[in-house]
Amino acid sequence: MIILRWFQQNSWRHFVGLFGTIFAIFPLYLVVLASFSPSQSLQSTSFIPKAFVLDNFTMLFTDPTVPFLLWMKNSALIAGAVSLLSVFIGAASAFAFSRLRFKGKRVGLQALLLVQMFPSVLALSAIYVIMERVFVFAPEWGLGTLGGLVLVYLGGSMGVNIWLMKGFVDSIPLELDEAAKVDGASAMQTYWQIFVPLAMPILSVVTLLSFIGLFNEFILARMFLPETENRTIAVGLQGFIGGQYSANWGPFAAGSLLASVPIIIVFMTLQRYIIGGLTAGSVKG
Amino acid sequence: MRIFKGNIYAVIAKLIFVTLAMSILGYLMLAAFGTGDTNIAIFLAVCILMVAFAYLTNISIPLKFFAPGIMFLIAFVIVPMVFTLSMSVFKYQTGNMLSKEQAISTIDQQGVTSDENETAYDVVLGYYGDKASSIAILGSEEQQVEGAAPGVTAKFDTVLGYLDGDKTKLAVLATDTWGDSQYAFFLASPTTFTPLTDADVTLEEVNYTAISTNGFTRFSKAELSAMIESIPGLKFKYETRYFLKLGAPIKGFFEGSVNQSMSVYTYFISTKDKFRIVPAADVVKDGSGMAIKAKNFTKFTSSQIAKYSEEIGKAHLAYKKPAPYFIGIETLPSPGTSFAYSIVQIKNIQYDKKADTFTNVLSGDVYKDDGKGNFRNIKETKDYLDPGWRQGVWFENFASLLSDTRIRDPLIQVFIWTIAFAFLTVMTQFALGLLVAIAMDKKIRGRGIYRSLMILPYAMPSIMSILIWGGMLDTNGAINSLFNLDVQWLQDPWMAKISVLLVNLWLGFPYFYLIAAGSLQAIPKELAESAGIDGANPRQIFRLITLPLLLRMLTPLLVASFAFNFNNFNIIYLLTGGGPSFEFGSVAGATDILISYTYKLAFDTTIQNYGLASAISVVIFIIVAGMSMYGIRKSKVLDDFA
Repeated sequence: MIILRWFQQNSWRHFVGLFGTIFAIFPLYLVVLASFSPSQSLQSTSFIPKAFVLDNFTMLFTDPTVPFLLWMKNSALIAGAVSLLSVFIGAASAFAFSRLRFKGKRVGLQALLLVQMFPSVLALSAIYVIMERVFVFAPEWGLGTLGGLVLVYLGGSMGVNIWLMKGFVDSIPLELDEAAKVDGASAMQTYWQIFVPLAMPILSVVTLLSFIGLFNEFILARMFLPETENRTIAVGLQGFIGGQYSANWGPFAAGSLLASVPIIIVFMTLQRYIIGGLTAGSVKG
Repeated sequence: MRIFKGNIYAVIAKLIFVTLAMSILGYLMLAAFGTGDTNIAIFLAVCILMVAFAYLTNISIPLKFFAPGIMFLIAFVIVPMVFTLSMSVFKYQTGNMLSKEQAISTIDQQGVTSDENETAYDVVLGYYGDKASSIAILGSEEQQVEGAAPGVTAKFDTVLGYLDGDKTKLAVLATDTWGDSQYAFFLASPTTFTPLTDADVTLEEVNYTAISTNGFTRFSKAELSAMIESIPGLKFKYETRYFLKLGAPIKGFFEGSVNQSMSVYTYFISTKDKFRIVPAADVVKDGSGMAIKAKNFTKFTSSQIAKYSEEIGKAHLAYKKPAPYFIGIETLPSPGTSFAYSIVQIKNIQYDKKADTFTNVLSGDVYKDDGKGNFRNIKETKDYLDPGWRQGVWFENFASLLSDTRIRDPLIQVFIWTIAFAFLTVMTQFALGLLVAIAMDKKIRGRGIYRSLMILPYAMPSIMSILIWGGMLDTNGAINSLFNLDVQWLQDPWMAKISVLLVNLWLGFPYFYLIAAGSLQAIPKELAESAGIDGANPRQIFRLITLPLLLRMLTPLLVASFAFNFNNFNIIYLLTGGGPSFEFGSVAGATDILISYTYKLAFDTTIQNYGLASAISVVIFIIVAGMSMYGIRKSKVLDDFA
C-alpha cells in the first residue's frame, strides 16, 4: 500500500525514466539480437530471440576479408599512441599557458582557439598533399602508414587538448607552485615534480576522452589508410557494410558490438571523472 | 633552504632526448632535401633550431614547454589551414590543378595529332652509329604494287556488263579461249567470283565465247565508248587472292589478265634529326619482308629498352616530311616480339615563350592566357586548351556563391537546413535531456539503473551507433520489418531530415541529461523552497526560477553544442551521405549540411572544385568562429587571460 502510493507520487518520473530507457536501449538490444541470430538478414521479425548462435562472431575471427582483430589492434595502437603522446605534449603547453607569464600569451591562446574552430575535414586535401610528399622521403611516416596518421592526429589534437587541460590546470591551487618556487624550484621542476603528480587523474581523463574521440575518427583514417589490413575498426566496419546493409548485417552487428564493449566498459567505470571533464567545455565527438 | 636541486640524471635524460630528437629531425631534413621537398626540409631545419634554442639554452623558459606542441600544430593544422584558406581565391578545380608551368609543358607534350592518313609503322628500336643513348628506329614502309601474278599465265576473253539490271554493278563474263585455265567460264565483279559451266552461258557462235548469262547484261557499244577511259583501272575478283585487269578491246572483247598486288618495302632509319632511306641490300629482313637488322643500326636489348623507356616514349623522330611532322613511339615491343608500334604525328600546338601564347600550326588559331587559368582561342572563345592551371581570381569564388544560381540555390537550401539541423538538434537534445534530468532529480527506486541504461548511447562509440542506425532505418531494416511499416526513412527528403534529427537526439540527449542533472544539483534548494513559501506552484517555480538559472549556466554549452552540430560531419555523411539529392545528379541533397556539402564538392564529385569548397569553408569558419567567440564571451573564459 505504501509502495503503491509512493509509486503514484513518482509515477511520472518512472514514466519518463522508462521511456528514456527504452528509447536508449532498443537499437542496442536489436543489435545484440542480430549479432547472435543465425539469420544474416537485415530484417528483424521479433523482439524475442529465436536462436542463439555464435556464427557471426566466429566469422569475424576467421574470414580473412574481415580482419577484425587487426582492425581493433590498429585502432588501439593509433588511438593509444596519439592520446598518450598528445597529452604528454599538450600538458606542458597547458601548464605554460596557465602558470607562466610571457609576452603574447593572450594572443597565443586566442590564436589557438581560432585555429581549433577551423573544420579539419576541409583541410584534408592539404594534409593529403603534405603526407604524400613525406611518403617520398620517409616512407614509414607518410601517406598510407599508421605512423603518418599518428603524426596528423597529434597535430589535430593539440588545440582541443591544450584548451581542455588548461581549464583543469587553472583549477589546481597556485599556492603549491609558489611554495615550490620559494623552495628554489625551476619552472621545469615545478612542472615535473609538483604539477604532473597532482594532475595525474586529470591527465588520465583527458587521455581517455582523447582515446574515445580518436576511436570515433573516420574521415581522415579512411583517406589515409586505404589498405584493408591497415584500416582502423571504424573504417573497416564501415567499408565492410559499404552501404550494403542487407549483405553483412549479422557479422557487422557482432563486430560493432565487440568494438563498442571495451569503450562502454571504460566509460561506465570512469563516468564520474569523464562527466566532470565534460562540463569543462568539451563536446564528445 | 633549497630543496630543489639540479639532478644529474635529469640532465642526462634531457640531453639524450634532445640529441635523439635532433638527429631524427636532422635525418628527415636531409632526406627531404634529397628528394627536392625544400619547403618541408626548411620547416624541419627550423624545428631543429627551435629544439636547440629551447632545450640547450635558458633564454626562453615558456618555449621549453611549447616547442613540441607548436611544431605539430604548425605542421598539421596551421599549414593545411592556411593552404585551404588561400585556395579560396584561386580557380582550383578539376582541369585547373597544376601550376602554369606544368600546364604549359603538359599542353606542349599533348599538342600533337596524327597525320592525315594516320600513318603507322612497326619499327625496331635501337640506336644509330655507336651512341647507345641516341635513339633510332628501323622501319619498313609498305607500298602496294600491282603486277602479273607469278605462275598464273591464263588469259581470258571477257565481255563487260552489269548485274541485275543495275549499271553501277559492274561485272565481266570471261571465257578461257586458250584452254589453259581450270575455269572454262566465270562471272566476276569487283568483289565476287563465280565459276560457270557451258550450261550457264550463251556462246557467241564465231569464237565460242560467252556473251551472256543469267543476271548479266552486256554494255552496248555506245555505253562502252562512253566509259572507255576508266576501263584500264577496273579490277575484278579472280579466285581469292588475285584480280583480273582488262586490256584493250578487240571487236567488243577485252583481254583479261590475272594480276596480284604485292607489298614492296622501302626501309628507313630515323633519328631525332634525320630520316635516312636505307637500300634494301643493307638490311636483314624477316619472313614477311620487314627489316629487323640494318647496317649502322644496333637493336636495343630488352634491358636497354627498359632503361630508356621514358626517353623512347618522349622521342620525336624525324619523318620524311619536315617538322611539324615527326614519328613517335606509341607502344614498346611486347616481350618476345621485335617490333614497337609507332605513328606519324604532327606537332600542331606550339608554344611561343615570348608572347606566352600557343598556336595551332595547322589551323592558325592562336590561344592566349585568358587570365582565368586557361589558354583560350582569341577568335572562338569557347575553345580553350586543356589542362588549365590554378589561377588567382581574387574573390570570384565568393562572388559566385551569391551570383551563380547553380551554386547559390543549393547553397541557400543547404545553409537553411544547416541552421535548422543544428538548432533543432540542440533543442531536442536539451529538452529531452532536461526532462529526464528533472524526472531523475529525486531518489526514486531504480534511478541508478535508469541512469546507467540511459547513458549507454553516450558511452557507445558514436561512429558505431550511426552505422547501426543506418542499418535499422534501411528500407528493409529492423524498424520497418518489426513494426510492419514501409517508410522510406533515408530516401524521402522529409523523412531523411526527421531520421537524422531522431538519430542525433538518441546520440546526444544523454549528454544534456548528465549536464542538466549536474546543474540542477548546483542550484540552491533554498530558492525553490522560499518561492514555495511565497505561494508559487511547482510549475511556476520551474518556469521562473529553475529554468532561467539553468539556461544561464548552460548557455555556453548550448552554443558549443550548436557549433559542434553545425559541423557534425559524421552523422550526415555516414547516415544519409547528405542525400537524397535535390535532383538527379546534383551534388547537394536534402540532408546535406554545409560541411558535408563542401566535402562532397571538393572530394566526392567528378568535377572536384577545391576553390569553391575553400570559399565555403571560409564562410563556415567565420560563422563558427563568430558563434564560438560569442559563447566564450558569455562563459567568461577569456576573463582568465593574464
